[in-house]
Amino acid sequence: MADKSHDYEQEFANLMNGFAESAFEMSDEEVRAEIIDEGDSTDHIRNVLRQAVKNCRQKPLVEAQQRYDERVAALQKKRFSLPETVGEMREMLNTILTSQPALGSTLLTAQNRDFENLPDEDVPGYLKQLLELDALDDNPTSGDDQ
Amino acid sequence: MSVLRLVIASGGMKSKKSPSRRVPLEKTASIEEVSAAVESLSREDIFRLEKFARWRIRGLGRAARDHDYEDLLREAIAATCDPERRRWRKDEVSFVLHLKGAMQSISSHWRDQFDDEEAILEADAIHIGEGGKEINPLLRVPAPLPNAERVLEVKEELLRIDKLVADRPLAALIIGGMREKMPGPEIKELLGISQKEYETEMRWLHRNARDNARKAETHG
Repeated sequence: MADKSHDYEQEFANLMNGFAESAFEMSDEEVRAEIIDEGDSTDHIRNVLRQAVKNCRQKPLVEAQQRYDERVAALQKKRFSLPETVGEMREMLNTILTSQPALGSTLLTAQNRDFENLPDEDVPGYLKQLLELDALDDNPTSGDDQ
Repeated sequence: MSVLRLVIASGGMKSKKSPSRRVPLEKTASIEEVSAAVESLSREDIFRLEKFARWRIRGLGRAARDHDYEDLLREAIAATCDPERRRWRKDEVSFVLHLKGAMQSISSHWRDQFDDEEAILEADAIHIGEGGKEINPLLRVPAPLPNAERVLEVKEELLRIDKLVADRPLAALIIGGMREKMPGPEIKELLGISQKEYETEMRWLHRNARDNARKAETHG
Protein backbone atom coordinates (compact mmCIF):
# COMPACT_ATOMS: atom_id res chain seq x y z
CA MET A 1 0.00 0.00 0.00
CA ALA A 2 2.73 2.41 0.98
CA ASP A 3 4.79 1.57 -2.10
CA LYS A 4 1.78 2.10 -4.32
CA SER A 5 1.19 5.52 -2.75
CA HIS A 6 4.79 6.43 -3.27
CA ASP A 7 4.44 5.58 -6.96
CA TYR A 8 1.63 8.08 -7.50
CA GLU A 9 3.70 10.85 -6.01
CA GLN A 10 6.75 9.83 -7.97
CA GLU A 11 4.74 9.62 -11.19
CA PHE A 12 3.31 13.05 -10.61
CA ALA A 13 6.73 14.50 -9.83
CA ASN A 14 8.15 12.86 -12.98
CA LEU A 15 5.40 14.38 -15.06
CA MET A 16 5.83 17.89 -13.67
CA ASN A 17 9.61 17.62 -13.91
CA GLY A 18 9.14 16.46 -17.51
CA PHE A 19 7.15 19.60 -18.23
CA ALA A 20 9.92 21.62 -16.57
CA GLU A 21 12.54 19.97 -18.79
CA SER A 22 10.45 20.54 -21.89
CA ALA A 23 10.71 24.30 -21.38
CA PHE A 24 14.36 23.86 -22.34
CA GLU A 25 13.47 21.79 -25.39
CA MET A 26 11.50 24.67 -26.91
CA SER A 27 13.09 26.62 -29.73
CA ASP A 28 13.54 30.39 -29.41
CA GLU A 29 10.82 30.83 -32.01
CA GLU A 30 8.38 28.73 -30.00
CA VAL A 31 9.24 30.60 -26.83
CA ARG A 32 8.63 33.96 -28.52
CA ALA A 33 5.22 32.71 -29.67
CA GLU A 34 4.43 31.65 -26.09
CA ILE A 35 5.53 35.03 -24.73
CA ILE A 36 3.16 36.76 -27.14
CA ASP A 37 0.40 34.33 -26.29
CA GLU A 38 0.80 34.37 -22.48
CA GLY A 39 1.98 37.91 -21.93
CA ASP A 40 5.54 39.01 -21.32
CA SER A 41 6.64 38.56 -17.72
CA THR A 42 10.36 38.47 -18.47
CA ASP A 43 11.03 41.95 -17.06
CA HIS A 44 9.48 40.92 -13.79
CA ILE A 45 11.55 37.73 -13.64
CA ARG A 46 14.75 39.62 -14.47
CA ASN A 47 13.98 41.95 -11.56
CA VAL A 48 13.52 38.97 -9.25
CA LEU A 49 16.98 37.76 -10.29
CA ARG A 50 18.49 41.25 -9.94
CA GLN A 51 17.07 41.59 -6.44
CA ALA A 52 18.49 38.19 -5.53
CA VAL A 53 21.96 39.30 -6.66
CA LYS A 54 21.56 42.50 -4.64
CA ASN A 55 20.64 40.43 -1.58
CA CYS A 56 23.83 38.39 -2.07
CA ARG A 57 25.91 41.58 -2.19
CA GLN A 58 24.30 42.87 0.99
CA LYS A 59 24.48 39.56 2.82
CA PRO A 60 27.70 40.36 4.74
CA LEU A 61 26.18 43.67 5.90
CA VAL A 62 22.94 42.01 6.97
CA GLU A 63 24.89 39.36 8.87
CA ALA A 64 27.05 42.00 10.55
CA GLN A 65 23.90 43.87 11.57
CA GLN A 66 22.44 40.65 12.98
CA ARG A 67 25.59 39.98 15.00
CA TYR A 68 25.51 43.53 16.30
CA ASP A 69 21.82 43.22 17.25
CA GLU A 70 22.51 39.95 19.04
CA ARG A 71 25.35 41.53 20.95
CA VAL A 72 23.22 44.51 21.93
CA ALA A 73 20.42 42.16 23.02
CA ALA A 74 22.87 40.13 25.09
CA LEU A 75 24.22 43.30 26.59
CA GLN A 76 20.74 44.44 27.54
CA LYS A 77 20.15 41.15 29.34
CA LYS A 78 23.13 41.78 31.58
CA ARG A 79 22.42 43.64 34.75
CA PHE A 80 24.88 46.27 35.83
CA SER A 81 24.49 48.39 38.90
CA LEU A 82 25.48 51.69 37.43
CA PRO A 83 25.84 54.86 39.44
CA GLU A 84 22.70 56.95 39.47
CA THR A 85 23.96 60.19 37.99
CA VAL A 86 25.79 60.81 34.74
CA GLY A 87 28.48 62.62 36.69
CA GLU A 88 29.15 59.54 38.81
CA MET A 89 29.14 57.40 35.69
CA ARG A 90 31.74 59.65 34.07
CA GLU A 91 33.79 59.33 37.21
CA MET A 92 33.55 55.54 37.02
CA LEU A 93 34.52 55.61 33.35
CA ASN A 94 37.47 57.80 34.27
CA THR A 95 38.60 55.36 36.93
CA ILE A 96 38.45 52.44 34.52
CA LEU A 97 40.19 54.28 31.73
CA THR A 98 42.90 55.62 34.00
CA SER A 99 43.70 52.15 35.21
CA GLN A 100 43.45 50.65 31.69
CA PRO A 101 44.14 53.42 29.16
CA ALA A 102 44.45 50.93 26.30
CA LEU A 103 40.78 50.07 26.68
CA GLY A 104 39.79 53.69 26.35
CA SER A 105 41.80 54.24 23.20
CA THR A 106 40.42 51.06 21.62
CA LEU A 107 36.83 51.66 22.50
CA LEU A 108 36.59 55.38 22.03
CA THR A 109 39.12 56.10 19.31
CA ALA A 110 37.92 53.17 17.25
CA GLN A 111 34.50 54.69 17.28
CA ASN A 112 35.94 58.07 16.45
CA ARG A 113 34.69 59.62 19.64
CA ASP A 114 36.36 61.90 22.09
CA PHE A 115 35.66 60.77 25.61
CA GLU A 116 35.65 64.29 27.01
CA ASN A 117 32.93 65.31 24.57
CA LEU A 118 30.85 62.17 24.99
CA PRO A 119 27.20 63.24 25.19
CA ASP A 120 25.45 62.39 28.46
CA GLU A 121 23.08 59.95 26.79
CA ASP A 122 26.01 57.86 25.50
CA VAL A 123 27.77 57.56 28.85
CA PRO A 124 25.71 54.64 30.28
CA GLY A 125 26.17 52.67 27.02
CA TYR A 126 29.95 53.05 27.03
CA LEU A 127 30.17 52.22 30.68
CA LYS A 128 28.13 49.06 30.11
CA GLN A 129 30.38 48.10 27.21
CA LEU A 130 33.44 48.48 29.38
CA LEU A 131 31.87 46.42 32.13
CA GLU A 132 30.90 43.84 29.51
CA LEU A 133 34.52 43.66 28.46
CA ASP A 134 35.24 42.68 32.05
CA ALA A 135 37.33 45.78 32.44
CA LEU A 136 36.68 45.55 36.10
CA ASP A 137 37.63 42.02 36.98
CA ASP A 138 36.76 42.51 40.57
CA ASN A 139 33.84 44.82 39.97
CA PRO A 140 31.21 43.77 42.48
CA THR A 141 28.45 45.65 40.72
CA SER A 142 28.15 43.52 37.59
CA GLY A 143 26.45 40.20 37.08
CA ASP A 144 24.09 38.21 34.93
CA ASP A 145 20.37 38.21 35.40
CA GLN A 146 20.33 34.50 35.72
CA MET B 1 16.08 -2.63 -22.78
CA SER B 2 18.72 0.06 -22.91
CA VAL B 3 21.18 0.67 -20.12
CA LEU B 4 19.49 4.01 -19.52
CA ARG B 5 16.13 2.33 -19.08
CA LEU B 6 17.63 -0.20 -16.68
CA VAL B 7 19.07 2.64 -14.68
CA ILE B 8 15.70 4.43 -14.62
CA ALA B 9 13.88 1.22 -13.69
CA SER B 10 16.23 0.63 -10.80
CA GLY B 11 15.57 4.07 -9.36
CA GLY B 12 18.30 6.07 -11.03
CA MET B 13 22.02 6.15 -10.55
CA LYS B 14 23.08 6.66 -7.00
CA SER B 15 26.73 7.13 -6.35
CA LYS B 16 27.94 5.94 -2.99
CA LYS B 17 29.58 9.20 -2.25
CA SER B 18 28.95 12.32 -4.24
CA PRO B 19 32.11 14.20 -5.10
CA SER B 20 32.55 17.62 -3.59
CA ARG B 21 30.90 20.39 -5.56
CA ARG B 22 33.51 22.83 -4.36
CA VAL B 23 34.98 24.52 -7.41
CA PRO B 24 38.32 26.35 -7.27
CA LEU B 25 37.51 30.02 -6.80
CA GLU B 26 39.44 31.14 -9.87
CA LYS B 27 37.15 29.00 -12.05
CA THR B 28 33.97 30.43 -10.62
CA ALA B 29 32.12 33.63 -11.29
CA SER B 30 32.21 36.62 -8.94
CA ILE B 31 29.00 38.37 -7.85
CA GLU B 32 29.73 41.06 -10.44
CA GLU B 33 29.94 38.43 -13.16
CA VAL B 34 26.71 36.84 -11.95
CA SER B 35 25.08 40.26 -12.05
CA ALA B 36 26.30 40.84 -15.61
CA ALA B 37 25.06 37.39 -16.61
CA VAL B 38 21.58 38.22 -15.27
CA GLU B 39 21.56 41.35 -17.43
CA SER B 40 22.59 39.46 -20.52
CA LEU B 41 20.04 36.64 -20.21
CA SER B 42 17.83 36.62 -23.29
CA ARG B 43 14.07 36.95 -22.92
CA GLU B 44 13.74 33.41 -24.23
CA ASP B 45 16.04 32.06 -21.53
CA ILE B 46 14.25 34.00 -18.84
CA PHE B 47 10.97 32.52 -20.04
CA ARG B 48 12.50 29.02 -19.88
CA LEU B 49 13.80 29.61 -16.36
CA GLU B 50 10.42 30.86 -15.19
CA LYS B 51 8.60 27.86 -16.67
CA PHE B 52 11.17 25.48 -15.26
CA ALA B 53 10.78 26.97 -11.79
CA ARG B 54 6.97 26.91 -11.97
CA TRP B 55 6.76 23.24 -13.01
CA ARG B 56 9.37 22.14 -10.47
CA ILE B 57 7.44 23.82 -7.67
CA ARG B 58 4.19 22.30 -8.93
CA GLY B 59 5.87 18.88 -8.92
CA LEU B 60 6.81 19.34 -5.27
CA GLY B 61 3.19 19.65 -4.21
CA ARG B 62 3.02 20.02 -0.45
CA ALA B 63 6.75 19.52 -0.18
CA ALA B 64 7.08 23.05 -1.60
CA ARG B 65 5.61 24.32 1.68
CA ASP B 66 5.58 28.12 1.46
CA HIS B 67 8.08 28.29 -1.39
CA ASP B 68 6.87 29.58 -4.72
CA TYR B 69 8.62 29.62 -8.09
CA GLU B 70 10.19 33.02 -7.38
CA ASP B 71 11.75 31.63 -4.20
CA LEU B 72 13.29 28.87 -6.26
CA LEU B 73 14.79 31.39 -8.68
CA ARG B 74 16.09 33.52 -5.79
CA GLU B 75 17.57 30.52 -4.04
CA ALA B 76 19.38 29.48 -7.21
CA ILE B 77 21.03 32.90 -7.36
CA ALA B 78 21.85 32.83 -3.64
CA ALA B 79 23.49 29.43 -4.04
CA THR B 80 25.43 30.68 -7.07
CA CYS B 81 26.87 33.61 -5.15
CA ASP B 82 27.76 31.58 -2.06
CA PRO B 83 31.34 30.27 -2.17
CA GLU B 84 30.38 27.39 0.12
CA ARG B 85 27.60 26.23 -2.13
CA ARG B 86 26.98 25.92 -5.85
CA ARG B 87 29.34 28.20 -7.70
CA TRP B 88 28.99 28.77 -11.42
CA ARG B 89 31.83 27.35 -13.54
CA LYS B 90 31.57 30.19 -15.98
CA ASP B 91 33.93 28.76 -18.57
CA GLU B 92 32.24 25.39 -18.72
CA VAL B 93 28.50 25.93 -18.36
CA SER B 94 26.21 28.63 -19.68
CA PHE B 95 24.56 30.73 -17.00
CA VAL B 96 21.05 29.63 -17.93
CA LEU B 97 21.96 25.94 -17.71
CA HIS B 98 23.76 26.53 -14.44
CA LEU B 99 20.62 28.12 -12.95
CA LYS B 100 18.51 25.28 -14.27
CA GLY B 101 20.80 22.76 -12.57
CA ALA B 102 20.80 24.75 -9.35
CA MET B 103 16.98 24.88 -9.29
CA GLN B 104 16.77 21.17 -9.99
CA SER B 105 19.09 20.39 -7.12
CA ILE B 106 17.45 22.83 -4.68
CA SER B 107 13.92 21.61 -5.39
CA SER B 108 15.02 17.98 -5.00
CA HIS B 109 16.61 18.93 -1.70
CA TRP B 110 13.35 20.54 -0.53
CA ARG B 111 11.50 17.33 -1.35
CA ASP B 112 14.02 15.16 0.50
CA GLN B 113 13.88 17.46 3.51
CA PHE B 114 10.08 17.28 3.57
CA ASP B 115 10.08 13.48 3.30
CA ASP B 116 12.69 13.19 6.05
CA GLU B 117 10.73 15.43 8.39
CA GLU B 118 7.51 13.46 7.80
CA ALA B 119 9.39 10.27 8.56
CA ILE B 120 10.76 11.79 11.75
CA LEU B 121 7.28 12.92 12.84
CA GLU B 122 5.95 9.40 12.41
CA ALA B 123 9.00 7.90 14.11
CA ASP B 124 8.43 10.23 17.08
CA ALA B 125 4.88 9.01 17.46
CA ILE B 126 5.84 5.33 17.50
CA HIS B 127 6.42 3.94 20.98
CA ILE B 128 6.78 0.62 22.68
CA GLY B 129 3.67 -0.51 24.52
CA GLU B 130 3.03 -3.16 27.11
CA GLY B 131 4.60 -6.46 26.22
CA GLY B 132 7.29 -4.70 24.22
CA LYS B 133 5.08 -4.34 21.14
CA GLU B 134 5.65 -1.35 18.85
CA ILE B 135 2.65 0.97 18.68
CA ASN B 136 2.16 3.45 15.87
CA PRO B 137 -0.84 5.62 16.82
CA LEU B 138 -0.88 7.15 13.34
CA LEU B 139 -2.07 3.83 11.93
CA ARG B 140 -5.23 4.04 14.03
CA VAL B 141 -6.19 7.59 13.09
CA PRO B 142 -9.37 7.41 10.99
CA ALA B 143 -9.03 10.84 9.37
CA PRO B 144 -6.84 11.07 6.28
CA LEU B 145 -3.19 11.36 7.21
CA PRO B 146 -1.19 14.20 5.66
CA ASN B 147 0.60 11.70 3.47
CA ALA B 148 -2.67 10.08 2.40
CA GLU B 149 -4.07 13.49 1.51
CA ARG B 150 -1.01 14.21 -0.53
CA VAL B 151 -1.39 10.94 -2.41
CA LEU B 152 -5.07 11.64 -3.01
CA GLU B 153 -4.27 15.06 -4.42
CA VAL B 154 -1.68 13.79 -6.85
CA LYS B 155 -3.96 10.90 -7.87
CA GLU B 156 -6.67 13.42 -8.72
CA GLU B 157 -4.23 15.57 -10.65
CA LEU B 158 -3.02 12.55 -12.62
CA LEU B 159 -6.63 11.60 -13.38
CA ARG B 160 -7.38 15.13 -14.58
CA ILE B 161 -4.40 14.96 -16.93
CA ASP B 162 -5.51 11.51 -18.18
CA LYS B 163 -8.94 12.94 -18.96
CA LEU B 164 -7.35 15.89 -20.68
CA VAL B 165 -5.48 13.69 -23.14
CA ALA B 166 -8.18 11.01 -23.48
CA ASP B 167 -9.09 12.15 -26.99
CA ARG B 168 -5.57 12.94 -28.06
CA PRO B 169 -3.65 9.68 -28.42
CA LEU B 170 -0.26 11.17 -29.23
CA ALA B 171 -0.39 13.50 -26.23
CA ALA B 172 -1.46 10.55 -24.06
CA LEU B 173 1.60 8.57 -25.16
CA ILE B 174 3.91 11.50 -24.48
CA ILE B 175 2.40 11.90 -21.02
CA GLY B 176 2.92 8.18 -20.44
CA GLY B 177 6.61 8.54 -21.26
CA MET B 178 7.00 11.56 -19.03
CA ARG B 179 5.38 9.73 -16.12
CA GLU B 180 8.07 7.09 -16.56
CA LYS B 181 10.73 9.80 -16.40
CA MET B 182 11.69 9.45 -20.07
CA PRO B 183 13.46 12.45 -21.55
CA GLY B 184 11.82 14.27 -24.48
CA PRO B 185 14.24 13.13 -27.21
CA GLU B 186 13.76 9.51 -26.16
CA ILE B 187 9.96 9.81 -26.26
CA LYS B 188 10.18 11.38 -29.68
CA GLU B 189 12.41 8.58 -30.93
CA LEU B 190 10.24 5.82 -29.47
CA LEU B 191 7.13 7.33 -31.03
CA GLY B 192 8.91 7.88 -34.33
CA ILE B 193 7.61 11.41 -34.70
CA SER B 194 9.27 14.50 -36.14
CA GLN B 195 10.54 17.38 -34.06
CA LYS B 196 7.70 19.51 -35.41
CA GLU B 197 5.04 16.96 -34.42
CA TYR B 198 6.56 16.62 -31.00
CA GLU B 199 6.70 20.39 -30.52
CA THR B 200 3.09 20.83 -31.62
CA GLU B 201 1.93 18.22 -29.15
CA MET B 202 4.06 19.61 -26.36
CA ARG B 203 2.77 23.11 -26.97
CA TRP B 204 -0.78 21.82 -26.69
CA LEU B 205 0.13 19.90 -23.53
CA HIS B 206 1.86 22.89 -21.96
CA ARG B 207 -1.07 25.15 -22.55
CA ASN B 208 -3.73 22.69 -21.42
CA ALA B 209 -1.88 21.21 -18.48
CA ARG B 210 -1.17 24.74 -17.28
CA ASP B 211 -4.84 25.75 -17.61
CA ASN B 212 -5.81 22.50 -15.94
CA ALA B 213 -3.51 23.25 -13.02
CA ARG B 214 -4.95 26.75 -12.71
CA LYS B 215 -8.50 25.37 -12.65
CA ALA B 216 -7.50 22.84 -10.00
CA GLU B 217 -6.01 25.65 -7.90
CA THR B 218 -9.19 27.73 -8.25
CA HIS B 219 -11.46 24.86 -7.30
CA GLY B 220 -9.13 23.35 -4.71
